[in-house]
Amino acid sequence: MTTQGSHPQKYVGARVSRVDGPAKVRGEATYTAEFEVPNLAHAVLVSATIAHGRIRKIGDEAARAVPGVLDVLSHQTPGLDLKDVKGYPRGPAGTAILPFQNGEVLFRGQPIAVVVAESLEAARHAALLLDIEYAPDDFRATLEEGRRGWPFIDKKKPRQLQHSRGDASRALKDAATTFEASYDTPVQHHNPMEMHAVIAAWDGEDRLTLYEPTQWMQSAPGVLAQTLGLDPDHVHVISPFVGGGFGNKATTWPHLLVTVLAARVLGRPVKLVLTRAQMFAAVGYRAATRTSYRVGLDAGGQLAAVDLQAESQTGPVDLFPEQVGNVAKMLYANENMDLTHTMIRTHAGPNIMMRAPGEAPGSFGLEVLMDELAEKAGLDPLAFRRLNHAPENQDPESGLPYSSKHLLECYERGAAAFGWARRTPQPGSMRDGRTLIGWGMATAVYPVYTSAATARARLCGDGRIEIEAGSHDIGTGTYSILAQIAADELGVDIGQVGVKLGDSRLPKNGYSGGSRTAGSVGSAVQAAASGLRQELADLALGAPESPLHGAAPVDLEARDGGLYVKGSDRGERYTTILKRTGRDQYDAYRETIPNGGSEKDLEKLKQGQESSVEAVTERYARYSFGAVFAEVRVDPDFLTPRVSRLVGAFDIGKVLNAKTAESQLTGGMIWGVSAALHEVTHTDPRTGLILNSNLADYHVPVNADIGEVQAIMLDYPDYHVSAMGVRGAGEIGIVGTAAAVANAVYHATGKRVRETPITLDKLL
Amino acid sequence: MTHSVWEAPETGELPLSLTVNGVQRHLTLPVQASLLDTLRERLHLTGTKKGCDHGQCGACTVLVDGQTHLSCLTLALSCEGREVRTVESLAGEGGALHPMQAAFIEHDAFQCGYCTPGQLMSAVACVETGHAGSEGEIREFMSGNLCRCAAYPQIVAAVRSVAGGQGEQP
Repeated sequence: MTTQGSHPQKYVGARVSRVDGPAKVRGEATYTAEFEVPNLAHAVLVSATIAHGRIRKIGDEAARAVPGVLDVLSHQTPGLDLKDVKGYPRGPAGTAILPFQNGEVLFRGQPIAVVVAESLEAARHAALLLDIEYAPDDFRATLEEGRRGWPFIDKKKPRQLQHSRGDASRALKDAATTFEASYDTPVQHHNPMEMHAVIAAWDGEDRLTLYEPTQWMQSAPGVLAQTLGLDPDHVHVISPFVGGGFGNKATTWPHLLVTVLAARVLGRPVKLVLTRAQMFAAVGYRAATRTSYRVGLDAGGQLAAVDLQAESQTGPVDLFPEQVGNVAKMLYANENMDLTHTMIRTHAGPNIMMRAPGEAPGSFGLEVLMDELAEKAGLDPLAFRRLNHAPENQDPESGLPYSSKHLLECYERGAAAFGWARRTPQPGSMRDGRTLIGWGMATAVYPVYTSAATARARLCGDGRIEIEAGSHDIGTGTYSILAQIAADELGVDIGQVGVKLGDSRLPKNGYSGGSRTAGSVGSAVQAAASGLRQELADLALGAPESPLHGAAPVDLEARDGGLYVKGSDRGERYTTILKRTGRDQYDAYRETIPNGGSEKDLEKLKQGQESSVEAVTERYARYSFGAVFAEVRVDPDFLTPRVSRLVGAFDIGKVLNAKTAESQLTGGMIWGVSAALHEVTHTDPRTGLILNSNLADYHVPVNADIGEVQAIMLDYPDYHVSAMGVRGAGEIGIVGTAAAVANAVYHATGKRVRETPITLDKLL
Repeated sequence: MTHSVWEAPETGELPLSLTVNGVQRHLTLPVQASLLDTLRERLHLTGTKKGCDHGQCGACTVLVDGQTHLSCLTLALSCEGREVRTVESLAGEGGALHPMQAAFIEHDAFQCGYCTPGQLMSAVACVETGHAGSEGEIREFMSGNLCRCAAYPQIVAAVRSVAGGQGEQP
């Protein structure tokens, strides 16, 4: 039985300040390493200093002699056996190489030992005293070296991803003009401000409490079920605040297993926090890629054929494709395409998704290519993109209509806000005094990923509402948007809503990645909150004592913490309805399956497995779009490009919170600036080790590197995604921005750089 | 300087007295303990964050005798007799938010929140030391504090609103 009662939107869509803001600015938000657990021992991880080889021995006498040291564990320690992780999630990902199982070193920075002590200071000191002897072997540390072939054991041959449509080779022959170019993107490391950390506390032999910063509550229980045979329901993960993730907290890494093993051996809780240098080791990275294009244009400047040979690096055991060809497959109208994407093994450890995996590096190549093609066709870069725009009714890859596409409006509004019409086409033609000015633009696109989701809404005796979802707020604003949704559904003040996230005992949800959380978990919370409202309405309508008895359900509205007949005072507060039931609280639990998904997705989710509904369903191709415009200023003597202005216009579906969504978009755009000008992990070719594994040498923008940043949101709900029409905002901001900046650098200097980051050595 | 430092290896620990957020503390610490680890691991004042432990990110910024310090690069024992202030001391009587804390919320000057305590300590110093005269000056002063979520434009807006409002609530 349902009621149709209305629930005016007061909070959804508005500029609502983060509900977790006060805790964060007071320093009261508790991140993993900050939980107080009695009798805690401190662990320091030791990482391999070779890229490939064997450990001859680990001498630990001096380390054990340090006062306060409790134990040193490594592959030399008996009884640390772990069973392999298979097919979970998308292959073993972070646990492809299990710690301490043998003396083999398969990647730089692989965890090889752990020192546990009464104090952090003692553990850190002792870790420096380990005497480690290696037998180094030949290695392939980088994508470039990986091309020489992999003469080592390979149980899982690197596969190729392929896509073909039309007849690209014939169309290339027939094209009016052809163009070839290759684009390179480097290894990058996520480097969230909060380093990975774990506190593991056993309760007996088969129950475990884990504090860890995670983008996926269900990952560690699933991995521990396979490696140690634990019941996943006996692994309690607690992670209320996550100090940034960007993808590398969405899987389980070896250090978590190390901490769990150490806590078991010692029989007491153990805390392990990675060092910043270790954040460049065994917690994933964005793989280096190369995209090599051969493109044909017809006489009118339209794309006639695209041949794309793509390469991405991957680890020594697992296979994770950095899907750099995805954007080129679908973004522009083109009937003839050949794509081959080859994965190349390296001794760089398992790679993993990093903010807009595939789309971010892929759009750098594609969108610089489009700039080059526009010039070749004698067209303005924006006019050239409009000319090759894929119509709303036909996704070039699937042939399906788009669920909702407003890219042309993004072009229009972005260009107007930026002032693009004032651009003069000739490189070097715009100046401010001596300073060279460059204006560049690019298209942004990101697929819509969704998951089945579950949530509980609770009315408490004091009238407060509690929302429970085993999901995550990694800085994305999940706490806030869920509170907004619930407050609107129930007609209560947002201050009356408490949201609980980050606990594996809460209703299960999928990982927070692929910009899926707002739409997916938001839908479940909307269902639970409206379900609660409807059940309470049914109780009131059916109770003779209620002033609502006999009223028509369709006439009800939720407001002022209760239910009322629209436009009248006839009604009652939720607490009155609750009191009548004789209960302390009233719960409504709901499960949702997104459009294009099935019961199977929900079942997988409830079993703690990955549940992801892809962007292209049977009926629609579902993508978010955007257009990014960049201004760079380049000193003509020092050739140091600085981004003075960025404008992005984004079609991301319904915007739940204009304030936090805007911040996600501007943050993503600044990540694009970082990719364009700053960010690169340097590998020493002689040792295979990382040369800049710290935040002074691994450059990310600081405040002074960033000028004006504006994000415009179109706010068209996409009802082919969900009833809420939400598509997500976390990733699209980075897509296209690096290319927009690179194109602006070309416009300022006349120098075309086809490799990120664009540092001054490449402009000389 | 006494000779006790050189006698330390016997136990590796020395006594320390300092004031933290107005409270007198007496501790016995390993000689190498940083102020950051002392705050977080021994005094359970976890508002101050560890982002790099190398003085490169600014997340651990605190005030020592009124000056901003990177607590990860500060030996705790060097703070004998000094007064340390952390983010936990920013809020006023009855827990009322400091204007800078309120401005950070209003302008959405953080996402994950992990760099925020350090940003706030620097932001307060930016205004109090008269370095918030223009957006450019604020950006320069605040550039010792990394924010990987990249809330930089919002941080500048928050600092400006406090500087412009003479410390009033934005």
